[in-house]
Amino acid sequence: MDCSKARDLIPRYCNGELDDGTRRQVEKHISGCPDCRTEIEQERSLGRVLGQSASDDPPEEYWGSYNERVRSRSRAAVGMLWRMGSIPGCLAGAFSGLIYSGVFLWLFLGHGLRSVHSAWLKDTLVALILVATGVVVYLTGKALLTKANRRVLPRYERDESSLKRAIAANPALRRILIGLLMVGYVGISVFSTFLYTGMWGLVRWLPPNWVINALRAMMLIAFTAGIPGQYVMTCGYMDGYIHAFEWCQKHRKYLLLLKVWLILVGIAMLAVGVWHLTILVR
Amino acid sequence: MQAGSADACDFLVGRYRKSIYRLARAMTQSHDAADDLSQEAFVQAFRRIRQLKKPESFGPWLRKILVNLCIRHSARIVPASLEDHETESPESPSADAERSMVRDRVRNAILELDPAERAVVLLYYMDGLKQTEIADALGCPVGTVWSRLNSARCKLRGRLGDLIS
Repeated sequence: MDCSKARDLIPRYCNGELDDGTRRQVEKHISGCPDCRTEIEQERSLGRVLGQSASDDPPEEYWGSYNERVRSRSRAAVGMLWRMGSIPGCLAGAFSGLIYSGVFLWLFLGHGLRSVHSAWLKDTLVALILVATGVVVYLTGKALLTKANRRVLPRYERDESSLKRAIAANPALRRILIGLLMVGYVGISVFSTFLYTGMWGLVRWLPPNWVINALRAMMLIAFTAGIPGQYVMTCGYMDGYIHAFEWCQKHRKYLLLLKVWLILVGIAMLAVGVWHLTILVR
Repeated sequence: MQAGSADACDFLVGRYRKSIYRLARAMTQSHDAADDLSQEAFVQAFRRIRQLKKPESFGPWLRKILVNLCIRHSARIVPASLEDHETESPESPSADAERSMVRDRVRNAILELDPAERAVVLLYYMDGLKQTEIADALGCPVGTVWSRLNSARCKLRGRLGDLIS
């Protein structure tokens, strides 16, 4: 072994990290090499000097209250997040109730938008209201989850509003979500595929506004089941599809293409639904 | 512990608090910062306890959380001057002047290291960890530990040459 190799190994030699064979080789080398012996002395000396620089421990009374301070700090962290979660939660709950009871009835009964003559403006208004409702429902759900987690999770983890965690800890919530998901995804798939392809004639007796609003309600159910982004996106898609469908009624050669596309979308949504269900059931 | 027992949390705090405080103190050279960061490390560890795969590696995991906190703290805070250390230190005024001076020089030399190098040096020389253990604790390759240690060693020898020769 030469000096360069030995010097690489000296720190680990001093720290007792070498295997027996390598340690013996280093010892053999340093027995005949004064420079490497000095290197070892310096390494040990550096360790001693650094060790001596360690500060004295604080007095015993410092440790007396240490555990309690860690505990109160954990509680404070939880409390802060909980307070932050509860204020928008309460606001969201109140606003959500208002929207459900008022705006939806207004839309579904078909009186509210009668005075608006532009179809695009009407659709935009509906989309905006639905997106606002979606945001509100999302905030409410988040606040409720935080509250549920606070009840069922261990003390140090209650500040997390993770849906997965709440589901894992709460069988009733899991059952409700599975039900909502099944209704939501099956509903979306049925409406977005068969309605526009084969079953359109069966529900033709419904006024178109009702059908469109029923579709949107289904989106809302899917959203409530925990996929807010998907809800907002799907709302946009559905509006697009509705316009595309209306356009295709006039240009019938593209209708088949749209139907095929909608079937594919339906299958994809069903697959995502099954995937989400497997996460829940697992 | 992973079920959230308060007694288990108390037990773990009791078991690791001194070593964690010492490491934080060595990293920051400040009692106030060590007090704050060591408690924060416990709070974060308990909050994320479910991420801990092996309960027996709680100690290294806690140390890793603390080192990351200290590195972030060092990036925010300009290292305090020597005099500040002394006013913060619980050391008695009658402590030996020469010993105190040597200690201050060493502390300054440690403080002047890059925070990542400082963590490696302290874990190696003060906690007596092996390089593989340091790599685990810091979540970096052993080669990185080795190079940081070498670089820090060269700097320390340059600054403290007369103390170690």
